[in-house]
Amino acid sequence: MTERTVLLVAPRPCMQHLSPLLRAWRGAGFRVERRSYDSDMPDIAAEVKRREDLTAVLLVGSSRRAPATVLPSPFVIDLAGRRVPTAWLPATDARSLRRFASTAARVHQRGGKQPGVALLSQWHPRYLHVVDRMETLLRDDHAVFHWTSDVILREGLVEAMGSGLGLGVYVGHGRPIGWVGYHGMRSRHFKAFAGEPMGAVLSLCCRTASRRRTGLSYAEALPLQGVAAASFGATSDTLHTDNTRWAVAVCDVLKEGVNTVGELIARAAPSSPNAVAPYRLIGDPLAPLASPAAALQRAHAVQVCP
Amino acid sequence: MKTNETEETLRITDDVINQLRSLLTQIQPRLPQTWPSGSLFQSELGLDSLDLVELVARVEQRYGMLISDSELPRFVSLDAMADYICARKQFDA
Repeated sequence: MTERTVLLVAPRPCMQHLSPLLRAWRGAGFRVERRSYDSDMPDIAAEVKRREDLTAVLLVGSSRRAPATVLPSPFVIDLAGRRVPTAWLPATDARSLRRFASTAARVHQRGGKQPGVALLSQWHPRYLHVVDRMETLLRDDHAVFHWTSDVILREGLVEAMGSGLGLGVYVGHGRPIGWVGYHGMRSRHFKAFAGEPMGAVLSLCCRTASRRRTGLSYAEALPLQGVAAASFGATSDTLHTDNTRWAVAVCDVLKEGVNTVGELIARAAPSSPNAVAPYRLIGDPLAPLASPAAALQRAHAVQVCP
Repeated sequence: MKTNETEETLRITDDVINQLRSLLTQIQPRLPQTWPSGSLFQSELGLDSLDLVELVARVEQRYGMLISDSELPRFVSLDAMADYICARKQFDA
């Protein structure tokens, strides 16, 4: 059996804060290759292209750098032609890095086999329709939770996201500071977040990983605040048709069976480069998507408007 | 010879229409088992824009082709879509 290798590249002082995640990766059977750097961020995309032994990559770097410029896309095609999930994490401060690492480690360690998916959207017929379709595609073999903004308020959703499900997918309008749905969901709404983290949150919408007029984008804030081990967002505007392509493919891949967010993104990516280019993967590229039984129980107990 | 080529083209088009019909029935199970391939997606079959985008996404997956959003308005029926796919397949080959 081929050894699965994850490459972690981080500034030297950051490495120590990430050790819980390294232990979790090793515990999950991955070989971890660590590379620290002092000043210039290495060109990781170029390295992945030259190799054929990597399963995933996490690049950590100065938070002055924006997701749009540190990596070219959510995955890089390696020498063997495989899509290698390549994620970014801004090194803001030691506390946030430690919180991210312990969040991601917790998600790895909590186990669970059944995929549980939260479907989130803005209150708009176009997006509710996409969610309905996703629910139809998934409901036969997945626990699906319909938490769109017509049935749950922002405060309720923050709590619901703390159920600890493996995956949440948002469709609707997006901004660098957050989702337009739920009367505006911002990272500050998770300041007091004390719930169980999600495996990953995908924002299939415009600009949630963009740094335009914001210090840190919403997609970057979620893993650093312990809301999810990983997130996925766009650095620029996206097309509704492309996001629908993503939504359909995400459902297809979930139905086929998938373990990690990186694998999900790499397999679900539409063939059109324009549909993929705006997106970035943030946080742990190996974040598991399975939901523990307790998380499903908590999610079932979430109150929504009928 | 020419007749053989025409028959082959018709057979390929029929195959594509059948594949599209099957894809569309997966997307919209309420559709009947069969319907005229010239039926208009929106006005006669009651499909909406999401159904069409999903159909295009599945066509892209199945036939390994990229379809620009600007092409979407021309996909008004199975016939129109099959013609497009066959032309693209011929061109790409």
